[in-house]
Amino acid sequence: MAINKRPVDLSRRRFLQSSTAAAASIAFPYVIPGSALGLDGTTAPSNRITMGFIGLGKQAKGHLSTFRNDDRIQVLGICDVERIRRERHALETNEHYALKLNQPGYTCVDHYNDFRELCARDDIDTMVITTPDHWHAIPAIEAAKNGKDIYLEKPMSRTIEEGQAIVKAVRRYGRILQVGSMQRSDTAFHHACELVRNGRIGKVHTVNVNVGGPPNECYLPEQPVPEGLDWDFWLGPCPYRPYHHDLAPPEAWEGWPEWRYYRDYAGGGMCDFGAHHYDIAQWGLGMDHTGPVDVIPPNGADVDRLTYIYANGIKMYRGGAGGSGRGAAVEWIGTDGIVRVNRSQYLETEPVAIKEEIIGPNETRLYWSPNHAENWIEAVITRKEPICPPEVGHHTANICNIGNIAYWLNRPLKWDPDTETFVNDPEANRLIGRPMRGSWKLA
Amino acid sequence: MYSIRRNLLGLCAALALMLSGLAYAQEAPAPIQNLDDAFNRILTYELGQDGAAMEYIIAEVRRVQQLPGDREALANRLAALLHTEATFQCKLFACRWLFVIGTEGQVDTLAPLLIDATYSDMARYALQAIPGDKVDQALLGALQAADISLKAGLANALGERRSAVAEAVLAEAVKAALAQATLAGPEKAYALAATTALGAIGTPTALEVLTPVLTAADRELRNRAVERWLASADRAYANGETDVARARYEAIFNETQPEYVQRAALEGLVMTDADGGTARIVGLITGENPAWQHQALAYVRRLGGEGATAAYAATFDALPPERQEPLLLALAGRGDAAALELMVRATQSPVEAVQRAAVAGMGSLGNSGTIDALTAFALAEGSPLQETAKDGLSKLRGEDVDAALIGRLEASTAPATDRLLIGVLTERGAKSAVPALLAVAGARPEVAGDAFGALGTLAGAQDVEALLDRLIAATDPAVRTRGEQAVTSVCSRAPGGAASCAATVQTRYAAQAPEAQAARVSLLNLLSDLGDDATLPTVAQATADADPVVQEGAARALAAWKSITPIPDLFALAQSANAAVAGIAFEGYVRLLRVASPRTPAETLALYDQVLPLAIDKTQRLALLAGLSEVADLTAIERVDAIAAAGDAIDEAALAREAVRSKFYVAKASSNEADAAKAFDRDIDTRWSTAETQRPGQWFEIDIAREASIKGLVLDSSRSASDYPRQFEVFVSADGAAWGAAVATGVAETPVLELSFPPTPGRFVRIVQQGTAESNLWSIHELRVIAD
Repeated sequence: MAINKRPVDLSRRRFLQSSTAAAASIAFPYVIPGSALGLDGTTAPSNRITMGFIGLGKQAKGHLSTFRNDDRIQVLGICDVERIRRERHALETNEHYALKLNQPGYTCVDHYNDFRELCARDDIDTMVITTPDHWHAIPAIEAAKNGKDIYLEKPMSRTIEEGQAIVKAVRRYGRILQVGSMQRSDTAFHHACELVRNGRIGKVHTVNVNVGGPPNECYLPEQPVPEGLDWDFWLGPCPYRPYHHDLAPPEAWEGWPEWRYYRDYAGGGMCDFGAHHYDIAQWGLGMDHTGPVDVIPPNGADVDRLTYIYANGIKMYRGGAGGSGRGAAVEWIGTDGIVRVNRSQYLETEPVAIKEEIIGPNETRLYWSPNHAENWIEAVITRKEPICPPEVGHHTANICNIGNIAYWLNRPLKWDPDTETFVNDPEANRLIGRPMRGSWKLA
Repeated sequence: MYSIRRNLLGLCAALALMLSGLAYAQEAPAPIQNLDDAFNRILTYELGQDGAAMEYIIAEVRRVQQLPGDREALANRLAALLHTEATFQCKLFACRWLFVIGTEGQVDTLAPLLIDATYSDMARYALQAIPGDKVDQALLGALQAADISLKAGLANALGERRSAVAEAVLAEAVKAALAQATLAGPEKAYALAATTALGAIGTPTALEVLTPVLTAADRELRNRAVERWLASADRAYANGETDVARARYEAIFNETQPEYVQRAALEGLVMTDADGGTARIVGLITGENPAWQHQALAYVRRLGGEGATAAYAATFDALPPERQEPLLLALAGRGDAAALELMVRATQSPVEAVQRAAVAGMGSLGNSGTIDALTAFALAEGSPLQETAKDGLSKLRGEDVDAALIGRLEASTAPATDRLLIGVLTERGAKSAVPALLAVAGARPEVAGDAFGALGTLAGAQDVEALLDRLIAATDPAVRTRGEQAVTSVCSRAPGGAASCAATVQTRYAAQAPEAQAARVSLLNLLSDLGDDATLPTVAQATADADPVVQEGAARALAAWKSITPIPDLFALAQSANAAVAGIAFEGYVRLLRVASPRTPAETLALYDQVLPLAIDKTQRLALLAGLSEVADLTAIERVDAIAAAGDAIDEAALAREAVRSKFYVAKASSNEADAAKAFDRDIDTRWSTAETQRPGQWFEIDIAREASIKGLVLDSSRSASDYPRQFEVFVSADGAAWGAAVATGVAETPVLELSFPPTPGRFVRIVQQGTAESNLWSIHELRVIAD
């Protein structure tokens, strides 16, 4: 339930009316018309991109801090199923704006338990969704249907079907959606992928990707539901189970929650870091639009690692990426060399000189974004595609999800990346989606 | 109150965790004997118990999934659990895996549960993916019989299956909902689900029922209908039924719908326009509706039929400047060179933002024919378009662009043009420019340094001899430095590494005439940079050259050497009568003693002992103190004392003593003890932290390995600026057991905490953190104990 506050005139229509001026203001600040400026020289409220947050866990805090410190943006609503969490962040955000705008007693940031109420607000332009994975698809689709542009944390979806539904909704309503696979907006990963794409290591035949394993069944015992947590809403579309701290620890918990390791809610390490590292592997291979055709789980005999095979014969393995020091997360091996990449600007090549290579204008240049969040905001304003649009996020999530299904069924599977079904395999195709509890529905 | 409640919550969570831990700690169950045993055990399964029986059955599910007979038997066995006295968790388990292997054979068992509030969801979970009419009929029967609270889920399942058997029932539900003044609770949930399901079924009759829902008062209901309506239109379009699709888009592209719905319909209309949407998009660009003007930018980037780019470009003149600029950006994003002519023309706009967008567009869409115009903008000193134009030159596409730029560089007579083109060719990674750049490096002194800079990036190992020719010929010291950097850079990329060039450089050095003083020094610098020990004798020999400038250059080369091999040579030189050479050698000697080596600390100290008497000024004494502070041998302190006796580095000597002693500190902590040593590793970027938020009673203890009079502490958490201890107490002990009263207590408010207290004899220091910080750890990046 929203707490009613004084109204703010930040309508979407007014934003759109002035958005071309806003676009100009980013690239060329000196042409902002006077009417678009507040008296203090900051962006006037009517020109701000208004924003809501769904899910205020550990991952959301950085986003909230970034966006509320951006003068082009005004956060208007916060949603979380833990009352203490949402009250605290709404309070802090109100205090932030009170100080920033020199408006003591500022109370324009509302908080909600139900994301549908937040999505129904016509004065909100954009939505940042940082919920657990089982709560990615439904809020994203609801946001799209209500005309919001979306920043959606990775992995884009928990099941293949959820990914398909997100793509459809975003395209149907003409929304901008950026998936939070933010390694795409990183110099080392970008350069590594350009090197691979432009043949600097010859013809690629092998990719090794270091990510965690598949999810587990959840046998955690029942515990009392903490005060203020709407546990039924937290579970949402998932089968009912009683509360346990590891799944939804209270706000005071500093660590990462562990829902990510259980099948009902997420895809384990395969999807957690897979949404980053398989994403980069696909980018480097130029496979953003498609996926592998075979996925083979380890069998204790001749297959020692989860193996993906693309139609062109390239093999991608879970695990095995090497390199000096802490090693690579993604390693492409070609006929003429190797490229290894990881976070913190780790880029290693064999031969060494490859990494210094400049990619010329007549070569394949990949989308360049120096800042993932900023790239999304720029896309919201200009309506250009962001660096990680829903189709890309979906195909990356498919890699993670078909791998998990292969683990789940413990047998090799044939995947058709065009129809997004397993070939002649009704048993595997059942796992493309997941029935939902109660009245929850994808679209 | 807020924090008290949070603490209570935390306590509850911790208690619950302990209890769950106890549950885990119960005696281990006996191994599963067989499938019968597993099925028997799961009958009483409750969460928190061992999941081995479940996993056993899951393994069996995997085994039988493609063995029809075994699969049916196992599925029947799972289904049978649903009508026993098994626990709720056991029955949930059965449904989960029936979802994977269930068949029509289990429908009769599952169907009665669909109207049972406790099991309806899980029965649906099991049934929803099973193919066949029998499931549809079971779901329909349940829909008609179930309590209203279960109907939404059942309707969703029927919609998911696109089962037309339910069309009439669902249609009635939708019509009934429309007749209600307000919708809420399970009635609303059912209405929403029925609407979605009807849309998914998608027959003409179903869509007819949805038509009035498109304008329903209830926003959620309306959105559901619109979403399904659009989906049906999209499906028709995908099936080639363009007219049908178009009619459906048109039905909701009007003022009765909110803007976001109209936008979705508009997208469909653009897609189904006979001309690819070109005329409509032009209309949106030039129209009065700001929202559609904005939306049109997205279409300009990606939609439109033949001639669309020209049509969009033709709207430019009719637009006010604030709309011209985003149009140019969108046209540039479209990537069609048909807009290039407009870009060139738009550079004449009186509005700078438009000019800039046009210049950027020329870079995106241009070709070799665009070079001169962009070059002119890039060379216009003081113009705000300069950087955009340079960027544009760097991005120009076309196989002939590099050659055209090289041709202009070769023909250029103006240094400013040279610099621009050299920079652009470097940005473009134009290796074909190397011959031209070598020519510039040799013939145009004003820009030779720039050319060397580019060559360092673009040249290859095959160009090293030519680079050396230009370097040797260079007369300007700054240019020579750039030349040396270029050779080093190129050699570092050579297949054999930097050292592979060293022999070439050595040969060139040997070939120089004695009077080629500058060239010889440059080549000595290069030998040092390349760091091949095989060339060390050449450099060492040069320290005795007749030319004092070469002597000094050789000393510098040795002092900067990468390996520790020249340490003896540098010691000898440090005793040279030539003060300049001796100073350089002294500095290099101490530098190399600090490079990691297999020497023991005692051996290192012996090498320091050699040069201690040679230190003649404070700078050299400070270098020695810095080096000695890294030696893990307490006798290094004796050398520090000797240096301190000179009287000009008292404070630095105290730091050095503490640094040496800290290598023998031992630390303990209330948590995360594995990282304790990082609190005194002399690296401000590493830290010990509690690894949990601050709460009273956390402690960090250090044994300084000697009895001393302890009189202060410095706790530095500046790299984690909010992680200072909120409240603290400091204790000193002689034995690490008896601590006595605190020697200091207080509240910290800054990342660096400097404490002084009465000198207290002892060997152990314990800092106890007594505050609370709900969002911060307690971190110590560096700790100093101040003691006599």
